[in-house]
Amino acid sequence: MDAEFDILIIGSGAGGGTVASALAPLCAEGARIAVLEWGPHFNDDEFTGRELEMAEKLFFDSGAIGNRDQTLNVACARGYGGSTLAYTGTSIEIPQRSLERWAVPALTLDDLAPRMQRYKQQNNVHELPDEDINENNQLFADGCRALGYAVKRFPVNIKGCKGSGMCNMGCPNQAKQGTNRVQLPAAEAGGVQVITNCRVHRITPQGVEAEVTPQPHGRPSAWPSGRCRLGARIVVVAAGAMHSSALLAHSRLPVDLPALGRYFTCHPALTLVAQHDRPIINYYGFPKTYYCDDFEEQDEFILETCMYFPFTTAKSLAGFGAPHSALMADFRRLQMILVLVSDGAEAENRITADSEGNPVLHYAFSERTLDALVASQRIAAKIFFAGGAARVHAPAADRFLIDQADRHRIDALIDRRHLKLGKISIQSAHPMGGCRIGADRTDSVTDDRGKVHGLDWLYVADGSLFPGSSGVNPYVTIMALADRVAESLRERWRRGELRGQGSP
Amino acid sequence: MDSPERQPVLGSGQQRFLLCLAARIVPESAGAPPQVTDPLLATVDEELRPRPRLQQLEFKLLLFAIRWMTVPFTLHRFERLPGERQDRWLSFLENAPLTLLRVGIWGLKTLVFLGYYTQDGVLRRIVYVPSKEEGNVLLHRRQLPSAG
Repeated sequence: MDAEFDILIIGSGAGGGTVASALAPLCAEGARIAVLEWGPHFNDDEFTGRELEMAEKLFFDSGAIGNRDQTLNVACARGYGGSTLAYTGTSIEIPQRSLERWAVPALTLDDLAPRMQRYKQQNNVHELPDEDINENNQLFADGCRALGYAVKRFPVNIKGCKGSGMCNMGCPNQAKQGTNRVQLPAAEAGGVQVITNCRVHRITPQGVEAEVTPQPHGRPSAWPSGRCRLGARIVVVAAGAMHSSALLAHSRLPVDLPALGRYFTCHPALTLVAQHDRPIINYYGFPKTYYCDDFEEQDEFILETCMYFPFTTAKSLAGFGAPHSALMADFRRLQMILVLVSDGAEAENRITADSEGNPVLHYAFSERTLDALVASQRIAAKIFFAGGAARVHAPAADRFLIDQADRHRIDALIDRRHLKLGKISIQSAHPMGGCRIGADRTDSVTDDRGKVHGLDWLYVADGSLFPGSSGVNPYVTIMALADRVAESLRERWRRGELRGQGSP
Repeated sequence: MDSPERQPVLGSGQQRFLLCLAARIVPESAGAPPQVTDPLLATVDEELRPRPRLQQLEFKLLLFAIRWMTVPFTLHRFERLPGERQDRWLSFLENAPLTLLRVGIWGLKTLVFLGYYTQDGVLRRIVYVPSKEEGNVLLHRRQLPSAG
């Protein structure tokens, strides 16, 4: 099937879904707009909450795209809604300190805050009431307060949450207000076509080369199976930080982009697990309510509550055998904290493409990142004990479990020399950068409106635009940057630059 | 007769050795009935099958290396050693100076955990029984999950 469009959007997550909804009003003015999404449009009853099944359905490589030495695994979802299917819906606005680090003159809070607030309103973002907070979350807050740390409640984008705790496997009750629930249906109602099961292989100045492939899950694609060439005047790449960079690299664009794929950051994260002497209510209710960012500015890490599933938990623990089994034996006694490091943007950390266009991640942990991973484990362990935990597992400890009796020796027991890369795979769910915004094409790929340097017809609109780490969960920031891209395209459309048949 | 592509990725000897390793990684799987070990092996196979042949080969090579590395030091293959010594060898590899070895053991553990901690019976035993629709109801009642 071949077809002509004015604007093609690749990807339907926080970036692509936002651009689609923001451009939908142009359809009434004659614009032909389509979203091409690699994954399927899942039916509501396909979110089963079964860990193995959902990992395979929702994520590329079951949620573990590894770097080249397999010391880091990045989770990237696919499907109608992209990674908004699988996030927890935490909706934090990017802080001023992160924008100062980015140092892009046009990206100010004055510009971004109203956009972020508009999307938060669209997505029903609010804080949970006290009665919906379970003990896993409450004990984190208690521990932080006992130690004098400021604890904040996450704004979350849920509506009709039933507390399944399965957010990261796709909400079985459709409560998370991701782009699959809000922006994409609105875009479709406005006339935007959304084509699922459609992988884009290559971008050319004339449009894209794509392929529709039947999937074992979800609704059938609106288009027949097979390869297709789609003409477009504008292409907006919003396939997520990993896949956008790889797609651009694979496309052999007619410009030199030395920074393409580079300056990749990802909030490297570890899950820490504590054991209580009694069962607590941990997996009933919303899993992620509180965070602490007291250490972000100085020590470059944040701490968040989390509650993962048994397999994910088991593989997050260093060690094996009887101690491991004893910790896993009663899941109700577990409390979890996620530590995330704001890794610096370094040119050597980059994404390239293999011969088939799949992303290849080259990522080495800096000394600062490793130090921050250790420091964050110490703080998390102290919070666990201050909240009443009996034992704590930290991958950088000298033993499998630190007993409460040893809580005063945490700084000695958790040490950099015990943090061995590869013993535990460090996780990431926040890939950022690779097509970073900037003025200089030697160290950036796009301008501050997401337009690729030197190509008037090609835009990027997802987390790959970030010049560096956001320091906080990135999705609201992605929506704000995508909104800037859409705004620029609307202006060009209304100036008549994008009208007419066929490709430029 | 199965078509070649439906043959298990691991041969029967490799599967038996994997179960030997699984017994050290998750002791409850030692001597477990086929209702536990068959799904474990099937899940590992399903996970390995779509991987590139090179990755499958790397995993087989890891199993081979673990099985035979003990011979120069003990004159016995890994599975012939007492359980405690098997644990010490695995622990040595998990903390080995070479990142490649540590990554290999993490991959092995991950496959075993995938095959074990996704089984319904195991989830009930560790009292992981979430409720898709009544999580908040149970939370508001302050009702602890129970396996029953």
